[in-house]
Amino acid sequence: MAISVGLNSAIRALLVQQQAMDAVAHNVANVNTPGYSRQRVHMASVAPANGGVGQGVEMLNLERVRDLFVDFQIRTESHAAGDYGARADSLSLVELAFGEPSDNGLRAVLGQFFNAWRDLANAPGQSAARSAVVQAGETLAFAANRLASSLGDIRSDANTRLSSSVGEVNDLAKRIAALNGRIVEMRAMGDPAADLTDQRDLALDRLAQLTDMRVMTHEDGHVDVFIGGRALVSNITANVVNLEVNPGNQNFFDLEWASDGAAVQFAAGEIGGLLHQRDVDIPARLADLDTLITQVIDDVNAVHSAGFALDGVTTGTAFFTGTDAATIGVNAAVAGNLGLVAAATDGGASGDGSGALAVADLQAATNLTGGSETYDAFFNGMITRLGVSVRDAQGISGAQGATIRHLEQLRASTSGVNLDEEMVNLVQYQKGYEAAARVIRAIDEMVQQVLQMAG
Amino acid sequence: MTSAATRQDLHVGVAVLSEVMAAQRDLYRALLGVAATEQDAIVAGDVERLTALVEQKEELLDHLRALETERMTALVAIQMATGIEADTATLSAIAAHLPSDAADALHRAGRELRAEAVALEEAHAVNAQLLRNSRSLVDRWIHYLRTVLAGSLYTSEGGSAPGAGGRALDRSA
Repeated sequence: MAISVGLNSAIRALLVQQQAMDAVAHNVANVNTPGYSRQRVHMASVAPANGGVGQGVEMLNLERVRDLFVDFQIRTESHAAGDYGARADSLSLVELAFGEPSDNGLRAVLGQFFNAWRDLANAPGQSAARSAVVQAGETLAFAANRLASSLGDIRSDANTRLSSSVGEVNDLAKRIAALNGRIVEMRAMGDPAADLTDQRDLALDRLAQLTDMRVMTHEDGHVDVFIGGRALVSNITANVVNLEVNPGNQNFFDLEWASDGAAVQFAAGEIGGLLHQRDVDIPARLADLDTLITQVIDDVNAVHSAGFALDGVTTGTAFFTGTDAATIGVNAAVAGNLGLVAAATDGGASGDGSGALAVADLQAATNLTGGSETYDAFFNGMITRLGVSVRDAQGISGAQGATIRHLEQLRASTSGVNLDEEMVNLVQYQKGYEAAARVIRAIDEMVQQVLQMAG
Repeated sequence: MTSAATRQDLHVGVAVLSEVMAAQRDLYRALLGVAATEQDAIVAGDVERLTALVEQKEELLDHLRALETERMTALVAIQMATGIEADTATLSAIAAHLPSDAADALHRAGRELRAEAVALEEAHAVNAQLLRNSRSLVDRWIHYLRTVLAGSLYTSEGGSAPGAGGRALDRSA
């Protein structure tokens, strides 16, 4: 081997080593960059030009150290995490709105309402007892109105969050499509586009939290993204998800593909969770509440209308107005004239409190769930179901979070940069080079003596 | 000319020297092979392989040292017969005391040994340069990383750099 050939190989090798060190520099500089994947230079020896010894080494490629299977798992788990995270958030708010058990909750207020009627049965002629009944009715109505309003607000909040999330989905789709174009271009020129691919993966990770999307990777480096079987991103084109106001659903948004107006099917992810909350879960809670309050209105009004006012003549007056939790209120005529509270069942019988007792007895009547449950039992069931749902959603969300954290740790162990580890590697290099140089010097000294003799 | 006894000493000394030179040539050839592999390991940054090769070379170096002792013993024997100083003896000087065919054989063995020695020297020159430059790069990086790990870097705005040290990674996970 001529010394010139050896030095050429050495220069080539050093250039490659410099590139490898540049990769280390890049890794170090990005140690705190979210989503960054460690990069590694792969080298290969250069074949000899005319036989004989090789010509050193060249850079084969720059590898982006990434475990695609872990990426897939993280994104799959993210769909459910986003879904149950959104459900847990909304249901916690619902639970907070009900505020059970407490002295001011609907159950306590309902109990106080019937207690007031029981008191009135003992003193039907006293205006204080009549006033207490009206006040308890108003408190009950207020509690029901507030609950209905709070549940409506939580639905509106889900709708607002939905519009914000859809905006983010559209931004991410545009970003992924743009990155697709640049990645394909760079890869065609031999550049692995590692950093751009990291950025795209970060966008895909976030998209996986928001939606139940699926990713298809192509050989030229671009990815297609699908939601509900439709392409959100197809190579360098991003489809847009539009928000259309639906007057048939309280002016909440419907989600449609901009390309043809078809409904976008979000089955999971944060958006799926918000849709489920807005359109299924919270309306079901509200329906339960309405069932209870409507029954109370109907039952109390039926008994009250059959009773007689303080004058012993007036009858047929409803105690409550409204038809559900949102509209329930105490009849303004009764509230304005306490004498209209129908405490008696016998007309003209002064001091009769049997009507008031009949209303009070409704508390123990089993008029709900096909005649099997009292108001209290029905409400208990509602709160229990809510509590179980909250616990389930929080439990699943927490478990998904733990799974994702574990997977992210796995990903970091493959792709992450650790300065201490880089340092240990470098010190090993340093020691290895020192030892090799020392042996070369020792051998060269002995060779010199022989060369001196050989002339 | 020397006496018969002295000629016998010279003959034995040259024979031993030739054997030693042949053994050294074979060792240089082996070292040359290791040097080529060593170069690959250096440029690939494969320190594990480099360390294994260094151990291999150290074993060969021990053999080389043993041969060097034998070479000096042979040269001392030749010195006794010819008066040529062992420390400064050359093959040409020794050959001058030998019959032409023996002198030719010694010169031929010397040329073969020299060729291997020169090739080994060249390979070592390249590897030494590679090692110096690699070491220099690594030294610079260690210095830089120490600065980063000490947290004394500043951002372009003059603020402190974000917490260095990286994430605690468990690669066994």
